[in-house]
Amino acid sequence: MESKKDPILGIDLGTTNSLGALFRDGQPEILRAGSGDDGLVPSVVSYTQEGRVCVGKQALAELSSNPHSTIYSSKRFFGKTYSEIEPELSKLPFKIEGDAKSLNFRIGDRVFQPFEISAEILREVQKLASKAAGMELKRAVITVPAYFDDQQRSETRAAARAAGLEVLRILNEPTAAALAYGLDLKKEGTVAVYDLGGGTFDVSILQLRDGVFKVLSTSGDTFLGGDDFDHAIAEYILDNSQMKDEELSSELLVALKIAAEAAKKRLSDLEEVSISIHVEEPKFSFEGKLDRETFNQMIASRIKKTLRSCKGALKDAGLTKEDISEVVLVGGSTRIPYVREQVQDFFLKTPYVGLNPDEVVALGAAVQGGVLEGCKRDVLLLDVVPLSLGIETLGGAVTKILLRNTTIPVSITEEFTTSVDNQSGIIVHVLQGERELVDDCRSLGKFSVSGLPSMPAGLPKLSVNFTIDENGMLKVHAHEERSGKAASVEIAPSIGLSKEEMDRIVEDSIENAMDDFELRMIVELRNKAERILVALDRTLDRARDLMEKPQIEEILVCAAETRELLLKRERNKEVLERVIDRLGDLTRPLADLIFNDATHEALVGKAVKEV
Amino acid sequence: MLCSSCGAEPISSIYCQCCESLNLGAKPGNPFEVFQLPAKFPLDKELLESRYLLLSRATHPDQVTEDFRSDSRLLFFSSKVNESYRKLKDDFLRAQSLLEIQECYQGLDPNRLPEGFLLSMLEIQEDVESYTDNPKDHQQSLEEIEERMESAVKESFREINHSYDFLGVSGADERQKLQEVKTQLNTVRYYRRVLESVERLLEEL
Repeated sequence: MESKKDPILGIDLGTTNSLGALFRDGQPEILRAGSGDDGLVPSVVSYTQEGRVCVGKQALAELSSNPHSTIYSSKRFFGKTYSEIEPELSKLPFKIEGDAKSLNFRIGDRVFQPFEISAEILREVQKLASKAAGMELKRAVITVPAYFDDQQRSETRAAARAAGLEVLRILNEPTAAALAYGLDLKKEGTVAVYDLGGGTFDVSILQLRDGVFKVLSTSGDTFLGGDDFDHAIAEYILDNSQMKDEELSSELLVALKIAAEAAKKRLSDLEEVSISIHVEEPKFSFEGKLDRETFNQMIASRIKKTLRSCKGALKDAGLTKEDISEVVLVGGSTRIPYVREQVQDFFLKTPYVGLNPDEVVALGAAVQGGVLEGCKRDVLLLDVVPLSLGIETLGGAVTKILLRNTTIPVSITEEFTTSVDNQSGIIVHVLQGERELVDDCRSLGKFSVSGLPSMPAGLPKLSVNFTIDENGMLKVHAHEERSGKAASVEIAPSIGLSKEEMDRIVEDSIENAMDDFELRMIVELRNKAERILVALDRTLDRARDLMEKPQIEEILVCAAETRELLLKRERNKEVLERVIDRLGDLTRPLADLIFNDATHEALVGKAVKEV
Repeated sequence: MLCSSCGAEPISSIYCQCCESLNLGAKPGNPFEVFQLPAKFPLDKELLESRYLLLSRATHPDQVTEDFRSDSRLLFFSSKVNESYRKLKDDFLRAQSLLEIQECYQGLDPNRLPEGFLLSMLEIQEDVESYTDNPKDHQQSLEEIEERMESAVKESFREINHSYDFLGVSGADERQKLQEVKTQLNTVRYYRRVLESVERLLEEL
């Protein structure tokens, strides 16, 4: 059977810019609209007053004129809650809401989660890339900062899902960079990738040998990058202006951001730059200069922090600076001369700057796409888990089962026991992070092994197994050996939303993307079919008592047929309508029997759309 | 054991490099068997490395076609290769693995420590704790402890290596030697714990 699968798009979903690349004719290639196009999609999304969404360069152009409804750096807010980013708020021109558990962007009367914004960006990258490639690209390898935790990775997956992309791999950015670098230059040895982007910092140490890219260790900070340097300059401008502690308008904040970013970029070539800002409402004027030395001082403590991560990564890899054969710089912020100097001073060697820091991550993602497609066999990537994983034990402590920087795939089993006599159940609380207390780690999920027979404390033998597959997906299984009771959980990419909420958002965003009325109808029909199936599942047990066997058989056959159609994402309206009608007819007696007509309405009734 | 299909001597319990075939029915066995390396404490690191890379290529799900990728045996094998590599590469885990495959392992006293050891460790730990409030003033002392612990770890591994030399030598009291290994491994754990807290303090400076 011919099983030629679609090519896999490599996407660098960056804080500031995003980019798509494809592996073709034996090498990765940036997808551009034409020779004049850089292919970059600024990671900016703007919602116009007419309800139109614009993304990328167009949205960037809206920033000044439409500051309340234009969102940038959405990736920086992945996995964050309102409480965590509160200190940042006064620096942002757009509105953020939420509490200790959530975070939303507010635009007019609509709210968006960070992943919904990123979904728009992914959709745009996919659209442009498909156009450039001359074919519809639906499968993707998407890069994330290596130090992203499970929650942040889940949000990335959610964004991809909402954009209608099938994610074949979530790939770490420095690893992607190393792939592109090692392949292009046929390098071998031990390499440190220092990746300082718009919002995040990563350092990874890799061993390159015989086409195998083995990650030895990785470290970083998911809230440290070029945006912080912009903020520092903006603060400098405010401190040196007549502006008193008034509420800063969105217009002014955007003007500050634009001026700060421009000054930062020019300072990479010049010793001193002049900055001028004029805003009408409220009246604000600034004329001044900023020299490189002052700028360096502003960012010094943050750069120092990145070097501490480098030190940690070296230690985790069991290496010293002398073992590193090359330091590779990635990410736009490594264009800053001070960053280069500091990295050089730390590693005691001149860093390699021959890569285009804007493109190398997307190129690496495309290489991994080629590997997964099966058209690039000589490369193998051995990646690691970035953060330790463990379970909660006595007194709110975390016992680590999988240590950070363990190569995946991996499967490890550890034994635990009870602390109280006659415990009938054991709760397995799965956590991620380096700290020792539950409260300081990220909770990934909880499940319990229940129904244990009475045993004194310490007698039960609970084996807990953590398995992580090549995709980085974690499965936890626990069983009590003496009683044979078992339970397991797949830590599904959840983002603190119930499945229903997630489905609604995905559905909404698919709808947003569809300009075609027909397609919208089809989505409605699919959802309707899905609702019937869910309702049917819930009532089937009772139906068995109330209905004749052949009748039930008929319902089951029809339900299976419907499921099949949903699975293959049927796009034919008539086919869907026919099966839904039939399912409705077949279940009518069931609804009559169990409930009343009103409930039947819920079974097959029209979707009540929430606005 | 020779490869059943080509008769060559394979580099792994699950893979034959000669006919490039994965033996999906095979039991991987202990870490030494996975890499077909002698069950001894001294390790040919270069050989381990090259076999690890070969085996990773043979078992990693990314290296097979998409249809075969979800085969759970592949995930099991590649996890096993990674786990075995980790256990052999690290001195502590290798010594522990070697111990676990000995017949008398279950009969050893798992918690034994040298006489007076705990007391001396407690003293050191107390010293470290007294420096926590003000590590800056005690940098030198902390560095001294760090150095002492590091050489103690090295010494323990020398002892472990020495004890393991008796494996397979006829007439040697194997059980006693293995108990010595276990005891030394226990001390390493303590040394490392102290090292960790010292390093944390030094990092703050």
